[in-house]
Amino acid sequence: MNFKFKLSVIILTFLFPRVFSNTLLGQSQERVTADSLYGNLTSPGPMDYILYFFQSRKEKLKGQSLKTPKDIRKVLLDSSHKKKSYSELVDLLQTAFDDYLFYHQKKVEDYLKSQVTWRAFFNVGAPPGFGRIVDKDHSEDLFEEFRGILEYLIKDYPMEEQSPDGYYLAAEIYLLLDPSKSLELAEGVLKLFKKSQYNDRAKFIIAIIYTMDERLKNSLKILKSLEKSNDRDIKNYAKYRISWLYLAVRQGEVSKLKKKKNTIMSGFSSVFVDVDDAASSPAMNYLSSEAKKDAVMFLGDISSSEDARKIFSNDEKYLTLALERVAYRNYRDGKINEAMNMYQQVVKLDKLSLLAVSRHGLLLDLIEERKQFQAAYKILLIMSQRYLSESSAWKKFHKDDLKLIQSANNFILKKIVDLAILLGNSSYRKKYVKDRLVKNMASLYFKYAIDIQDVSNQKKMISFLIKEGQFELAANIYFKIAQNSEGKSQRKKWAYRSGLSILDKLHRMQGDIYHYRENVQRIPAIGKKILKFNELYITEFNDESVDQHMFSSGEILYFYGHYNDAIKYLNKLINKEKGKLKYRAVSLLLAYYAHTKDMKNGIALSNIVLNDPSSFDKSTINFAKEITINSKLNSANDLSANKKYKEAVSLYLDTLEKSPNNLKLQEKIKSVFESLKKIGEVDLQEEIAKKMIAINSKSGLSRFFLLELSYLYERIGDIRLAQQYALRYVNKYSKDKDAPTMMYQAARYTAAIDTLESSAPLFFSVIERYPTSSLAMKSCIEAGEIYLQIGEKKKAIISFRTFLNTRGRKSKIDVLKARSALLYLENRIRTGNEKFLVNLSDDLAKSPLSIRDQVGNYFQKAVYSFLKKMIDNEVYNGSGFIKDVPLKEYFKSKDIKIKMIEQIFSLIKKTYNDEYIMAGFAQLGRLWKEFERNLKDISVRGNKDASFIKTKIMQAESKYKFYFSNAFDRLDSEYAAYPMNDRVRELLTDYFPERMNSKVYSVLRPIYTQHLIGID
Amino acid sequence: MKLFNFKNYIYSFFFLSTFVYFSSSYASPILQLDPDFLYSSQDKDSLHQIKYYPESKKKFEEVFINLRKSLETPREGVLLMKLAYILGEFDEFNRIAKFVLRKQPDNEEVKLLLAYQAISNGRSYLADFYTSKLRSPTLASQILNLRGLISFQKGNGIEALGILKQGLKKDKKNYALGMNLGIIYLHYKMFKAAEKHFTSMTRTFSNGYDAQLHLAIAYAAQKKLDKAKGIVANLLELFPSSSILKRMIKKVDK
Repeated sequence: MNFKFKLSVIILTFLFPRVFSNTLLGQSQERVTADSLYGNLTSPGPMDYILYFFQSRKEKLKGQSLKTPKDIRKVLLDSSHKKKSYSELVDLLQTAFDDYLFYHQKKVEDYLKSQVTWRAFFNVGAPPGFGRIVDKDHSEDLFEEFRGILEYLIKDYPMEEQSPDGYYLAAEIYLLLDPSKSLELAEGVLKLFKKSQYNDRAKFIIAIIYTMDERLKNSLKILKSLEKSNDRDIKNYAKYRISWLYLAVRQGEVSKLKKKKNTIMSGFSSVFVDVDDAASSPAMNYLSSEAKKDAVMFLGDISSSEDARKIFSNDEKYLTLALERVAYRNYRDGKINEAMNMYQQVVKLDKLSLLAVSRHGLLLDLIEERKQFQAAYKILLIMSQRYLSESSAWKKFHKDDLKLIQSANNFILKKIVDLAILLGNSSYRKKYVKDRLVKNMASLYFKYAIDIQDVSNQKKMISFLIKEGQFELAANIYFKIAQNSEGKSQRKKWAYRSGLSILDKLHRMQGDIYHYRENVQRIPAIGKKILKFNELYITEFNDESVDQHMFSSGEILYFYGHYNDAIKYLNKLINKEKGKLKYRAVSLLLAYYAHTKDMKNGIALSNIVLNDPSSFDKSTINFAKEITINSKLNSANDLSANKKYKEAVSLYLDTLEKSPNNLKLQEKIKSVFESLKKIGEVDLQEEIAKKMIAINSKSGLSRFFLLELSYLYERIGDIRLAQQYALRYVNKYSKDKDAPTMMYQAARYTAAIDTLESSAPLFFSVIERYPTSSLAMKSCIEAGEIYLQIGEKKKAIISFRTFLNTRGRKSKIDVLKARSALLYLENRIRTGNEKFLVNLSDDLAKSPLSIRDQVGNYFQKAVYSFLKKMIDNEVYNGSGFIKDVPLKEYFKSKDIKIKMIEQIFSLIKKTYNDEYIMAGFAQLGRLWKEFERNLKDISVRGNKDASFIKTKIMQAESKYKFYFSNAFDRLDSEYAAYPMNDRVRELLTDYFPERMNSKVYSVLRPIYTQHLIGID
Repeated sequence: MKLFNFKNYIYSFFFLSTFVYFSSSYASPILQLDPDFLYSSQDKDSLHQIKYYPESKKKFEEVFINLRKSLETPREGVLLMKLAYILGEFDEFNRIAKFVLRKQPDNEEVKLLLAYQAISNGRSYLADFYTSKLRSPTLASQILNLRGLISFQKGNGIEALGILKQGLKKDKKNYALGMNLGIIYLHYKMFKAAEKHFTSMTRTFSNGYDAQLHLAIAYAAQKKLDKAKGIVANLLELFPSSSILKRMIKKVDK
């Protein structure tokens, strides 16, 4: 059996060195095709066999003393082979070779552990390389010893002394050293020892060397002759190799292979052994597994799934492989649905996930060649579910199996990411995949990435996840990477920072940060995660970016209202000399101090900002300014609260100069102004108002202060200044709602301090400019009264008329005043006007005393002027009537008129104004005097009415005397100061000279009138 | 006849000024200061001293000058205004008024003074400004007196009568208001009413010389010459140098 193992090792090593390397190094290749992958599967797997080879030798030699190369050397050198018989020498050589291999067993195992070793071991390709695994000091010498013995065996011993086992051993060893020599020796065995027991084995060596030289048909011929060998192992192995060679020779010729299907199948089955046999015969077990793999390839290419089930009815593993192979063929032939069904069966059977390796090719083809994304996705989904459900079971697998599974899954993962990224492209997504699909995949990939710790794929995955909006998952991968990285590596740093940066973006994107006020005391999960990893980063690293993380934590804590914690972070930044973050921290803290009204700290920070304005943005500078201003405001507020108004106002105005557009400040100043108004601090009010007017605030406060200043001056009796500011207000804000009031006030001020003449136009302009205002009516009356006083009759008429004709709220007094004034001013005697007078009189009589008295002046003027007109009329036209009209009739009509005049006069008497009563008496006296003169002019002689005339003359005389006396009495006494006095005096001088000449002015008059000012 | 006592005058002046804001029963000193048409019962002696004895004016002037130099408080200002009014120092009067009002913009006493001055100058519109917002209950009768005068000046005599009667109800001891009411009665030839009013005034104010004089006028107007003569003769004893009284007694004798 030892022989068989050695033979197999040698053969396999020589036959398939590159195939081995392909199998194990497949992942390192740029592109792996489906065929090459299938090639791997069908090639004789060296790994199981070689390991098993050493394992079996170990078992076999258990208990024996091991020989070191030195010992072997000693055996070889000490026992002179020349002195030993040929057979002894062969035995010695056989033992030394076995021991040599056994000795190196451990080293081989070690080498097997790494692919690099495998590469080193299998890439040699030639026998000298084999020595590389041997200790350099001894191996070459030892090989030289072997060589020496072999040459000695062949050359120095005569042919007849030689035995076939020596020759065969030489052929076997030369297969390692020199295949042509080995062929020569094998052929020598057949030639020299025709009936030797080694003949079949020598043939087998020849067949192998032919295979190596690609003389496949010759090899096939020899193998066929070995089909009937008595050695069961050789027979079976030959059958198997024949089947293999059929495949190798007829590759691609499916029809020919199908014809030989049964032969090939039996060739493969001939080396299939039962499990029990395999345990006792590891080499056969190896051959069996190799054969099964080849059978799988054959079945996959040529036969059906039914055949597979027949052959592998007891072997689920190979059934799976075979079915998978069949599935692949279906797929290759375009029968996708059949392939998919088959794959589902495979997945159910496949407990090891080794088939993943095969599916790489399928996936690649589906994705890259056929663009069958849906199908690829389904396969991936099946595989990933499988992967997840089975991953816990991996532990029970052999480490190399696990390695293979992992590397295969790694490859799958890579493809999954590629596919996902491909699917992530909008064009593909729209065409093939719904969002849900992509999201499912994303979450699956995430789990993969976490498990396999493959950074390059994790990166791809992260970019995919970010693209898909799965930011939190992406960040989690980064944090996993960070946690899996050791020490203070760059990768760890990078992973932390990247994860945090994503979370930060997400945090902001979710908008929490902008609604912190509602979330005070509640930091969301993302925020907490950021805080946690920031803290981790800060404690683990001490580099420049620590600032960034401190700021980030500070900012989050700040925005969620954890101010004390936030300040701890931010303060650290503020103490730095420079840096963008310092400035941002300052801005945040400024906001905080402003919010909490912590002026002490706020001012300190504001000073930092204001001392270095170029480093800060506008808003921060404004903030700092605002805080500075607010602090001043606060101080000013404190001062004003303590009633230190002077200092407070000075501080307010000082601040206002620096920040003239600060509306808040202006409002504050306004409120201070109001308080000052209450306590009557005139100077400060004046100072504030003038300043506010000077800065001409856009807030409308300058308007307010203009108004207030005007009222202030009125309040302190400085009417001149009040007038100036009122006029300024009207000129500047003529359309303002307070403009009519100010216009009216300006007119009043003017009337008070200037002449009435100059005030009247101002009153009138209130009507003109603001006809609908409530003050317009009042102004009409005021203007009218003033025009009346200053003798501008026309304007007075216009004013009163405007008043009466304009709609608006009018007081009864004003209406009566206007009516009376118009009657007086227009002064027309016409029918109806008497009635008007009487009506007016009735109206007055019904009015309360206060109204009557106020209107009385106008009314009396009106009545008097009416009366005078009537009398003038009578006086100037009276004589004409007497000539033409019969005397008695004349008197009839005259009496009526006189009665009416007296009636109207009685209206004057109803009032208390003696001035007009006096004048009325004088006028009536004049009427009767004129009447008397006219009567006297009529000739009494011969007139039949002489007595009537005389009576009338007497009546007239008594009348005028009565009226003049009354007038005279009033003139003589207390009425001297009235404006009417001169007129009355003239009348009396003209018509009543006898009394006027004797007039002595009373000494009493000045005594009691001197106390009434304004009368003279 | 009482001799002019400068010390007493100054004392009473300060005393009254000090308590003007605290004592509602006190008759405001404003009216005491109007030598032409405002009278008070308490200071009228002093006022008559100035009026009828021009030499005493000098002493007031001295006080005025000293006070003006050390003008600091509004209270001093009000006092100075009164003195300025008495002495006819109207420029000073306005300056001091501004000074006081800047410190006490709602000092109604000062505003009343300003209103009087405005009325004296025939500026009823201006007087209106000063008095329209006056509300002080302690100065109620004085304010009403002034408003009555403004109404009378504007030709609304009946309104003036109403206002003055109302003022008299508020303070029966307001001499100036009483005088003004009586004079308006005389103006409207309401002699009986005038007689009644002045009689009651002479009872209230034992030294109300002006009221006595006007009572005499009311008697004379009703031809009650004996009564008139008696009053004028008594007054002549008090003020023997008064030319007005001398002329009046001549007229009555006729």
